[in-house]
Amino acid sequence: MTRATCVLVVDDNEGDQYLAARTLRKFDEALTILTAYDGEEALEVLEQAAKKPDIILLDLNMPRMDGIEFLEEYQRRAILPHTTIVVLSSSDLADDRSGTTVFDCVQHYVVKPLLTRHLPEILGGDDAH
Amino acid sequence: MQIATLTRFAAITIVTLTAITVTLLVGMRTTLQEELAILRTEAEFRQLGNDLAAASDLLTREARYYSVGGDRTHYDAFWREVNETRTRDNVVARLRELGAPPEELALIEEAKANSDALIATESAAFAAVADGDFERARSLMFGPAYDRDKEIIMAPIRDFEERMNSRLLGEVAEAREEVNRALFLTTGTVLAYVIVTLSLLFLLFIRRVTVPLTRITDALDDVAAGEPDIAIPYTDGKDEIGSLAKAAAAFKSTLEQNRELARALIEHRDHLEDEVAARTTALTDANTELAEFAYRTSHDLRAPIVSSARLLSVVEESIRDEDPQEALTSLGYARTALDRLDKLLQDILALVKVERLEEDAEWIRLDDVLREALQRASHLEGFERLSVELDLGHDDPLLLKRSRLEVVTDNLISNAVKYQNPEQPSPHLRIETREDEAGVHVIVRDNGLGIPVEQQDKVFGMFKRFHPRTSFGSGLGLYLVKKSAEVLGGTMSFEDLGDGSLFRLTLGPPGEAT
Repeated sequence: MTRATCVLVVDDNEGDQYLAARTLRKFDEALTILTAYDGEEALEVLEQAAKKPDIILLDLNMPRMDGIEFLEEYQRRAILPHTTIVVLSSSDLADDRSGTTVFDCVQHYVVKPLLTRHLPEILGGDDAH
Repeated sequence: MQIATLTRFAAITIVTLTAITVTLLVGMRTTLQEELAILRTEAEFRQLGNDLAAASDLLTREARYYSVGGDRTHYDAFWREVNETRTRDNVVARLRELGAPPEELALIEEAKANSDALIATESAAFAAVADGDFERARSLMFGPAYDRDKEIIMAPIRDFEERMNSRLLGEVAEAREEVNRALFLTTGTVLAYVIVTLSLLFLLFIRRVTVPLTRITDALDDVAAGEPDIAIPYTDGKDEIGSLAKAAAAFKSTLEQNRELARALIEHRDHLEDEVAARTTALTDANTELAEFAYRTSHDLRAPIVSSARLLSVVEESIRDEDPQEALTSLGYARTALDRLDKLLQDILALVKVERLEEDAEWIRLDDVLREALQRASHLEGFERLSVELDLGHDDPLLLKRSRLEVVTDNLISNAVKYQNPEQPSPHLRIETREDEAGVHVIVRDNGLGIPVEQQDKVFGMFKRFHPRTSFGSGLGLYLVKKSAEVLGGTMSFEDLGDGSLFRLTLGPPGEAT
C-alpha cells in the first residue's frame, strides 16, 4: 500500500475541518488537503479537483447531503474505485457504525476527534511517525 | 269493504237466493200439481157430462127397444137405470162435490125437471106394451112429441156441457198461465242465482284476493332481491289485503332501515378503521420524530463539546509551542462551536416552550407583532441591506398566543435577513397580511437564496439546514415555525418563487384562530 498524498475532508463544521487538517499536516506536511462542507460539495470537488484524493474523511451529520447519502451516490457513480473512505463521526452509536459498514468503499470508522495515532493505519505506507 | 264483510254478505246473498230458489221450485211443483188437478177435474167434468147424456140416451134406447119388441130385458134395464144406477143423481152429487157452479147445477136440475114429461110418455108407452098395444107404444116412443120432450132434456145438458167446457178451458188456460209465470220466475231466479254467485266468487277471489296477493307477493320478491324504489301496492285498501299490504310495506320499510343501518355500520366501521390507521400513523410519525430528535440533539450537543475540548487542547499545545496565532485560531473555532451550542440550546429550549408552555391567548394586532419583530431583527447582521416593504391590510385584533406568533414572525424575518442572495443587487423583504375565506394570512416573501428544489419537501423538517456555508443554523428554525403555527391552530406553507421564497402562515377560517 502506497502512502496517501491527497486527503479530502468532508465536514460542515469549520472547527472540525481545521482540527482534521491540522492533525493531518502534523503527521505529513506534504499532504494535499481538500475540504467540502457537505456531500454535494464533496461530489463537486471530486469531479473538479485536479488532484484526486486517496483518502476521504467523511462526517455523517451534514446539511443538504449527509454522509450516508454521499456514500450511496459515490457508490452508485463508482467515482474513484481505489480511494479509501474513512468515516469520521462524533457519534459512537452502533447504529451509525453499522449504517456505514454496508458500503464496501468504507474502510474505517473513527470517532472524533481525529488523533495522530489513527493516521498510520488510515494513510498507509511504511513511514509511520 | 272488508273481505270478511264481503264474504258474509256473499254468504247471506247466496243463502237467501238458495231459499228463494227452493221456495220457487216448491211453488212450481205445487202449481204444476194444481194444473194437473184442474186437468183431471176437467176430464171428470167432461165424463160426467157424457155420462149424463149417455144415461139419457140409454133410457131412451131401452124404452124404445121395449116398446118395439116387448122384451122385458129392456124394461128391466130401463128401471135398473132409473132406480138402481141413478146416473143422473150420481152425476149431480158428484158435480156438487166437485164444486160446480150453481148455474151449471141449475141446468142439470132443469134437465131433471124436464125429464118428468118424458118419463110420463115412457110410462104410457110401457102401459101400452103391457096392454099389447105396440102400435100406440111405438107412436109414443118414436113420435115427434117424444123427440120434443127429449130435446128439452138434452138442451140444458148440452148447455151445461158447453158452459162447463168453456169454464174448464178458462181454468186450464189460467193454470197454464200460472205455470208459465212460475216457470219464468223460477228460471229467472235460478239464472240470477248462478250469475250472482259466480260474480261474487269472481269479485272475492279473483279481483279482491288473488290479483292483489300476486301483486303484493311480486313487489315483496323485488324488495327482498334488493331492488330500489319498489312501492307495495294496495296499501290504501280498507280490507284484509290492505292490511296485508300495510304489513308488507312496514316490513319493507324495516328491511330498508336495516339495510341503511348496515350500510351506516359498515361506513362507521370503515371510518373507525381509517381513524385508527390515521392515528396510528400520526403516533408512529411522532415517535419517529421524537427518536430522531433525541438522536440528533444528543449528537449535535456532543459534537461541539468534543470539538471544543480538542480545540482547547490545541490551544494548550500552541501556547507551549509559543505559537499564539494558532492558539487564537483554535480559540476562535472553539468560540464558534460554543456559540452554536448556545444557539442550539436556545432553539431546543424554544421548541420545548412551543410545545409545553402554558400561555393564554390575548387580543393581538398582527401589524403590531410584525413591526416589533422587524425591530428585533434590525440588530441582525445584513438587515440594513434589505429593503423592507409592508402591506399590512389586516388590522382587526385576533385572539392569539403571543409567544407562538412571535416564534413564527421572528424566524421567518431572521431567515430572510440571514439567507440573502449575495448576487442579488437589491435584496428585499415583503410582509403582507390579509384575510379571505380561507382565513387570515401572514405572507413573508424575499428574493433570497430560497430552498433547493430537491429539499423543498423537507422545508419544515427537523435539523434541516439548506445553506450551511451562508449562516449557521440549528436546523430547527422552520420546524419551530411549523410547530408554533400548529399551536396557533394554523398552517404553514412554502412556495418557491424561483428567485426567492414565500412563507405563508394561514390562521384558520375567520373567527376560529386561537
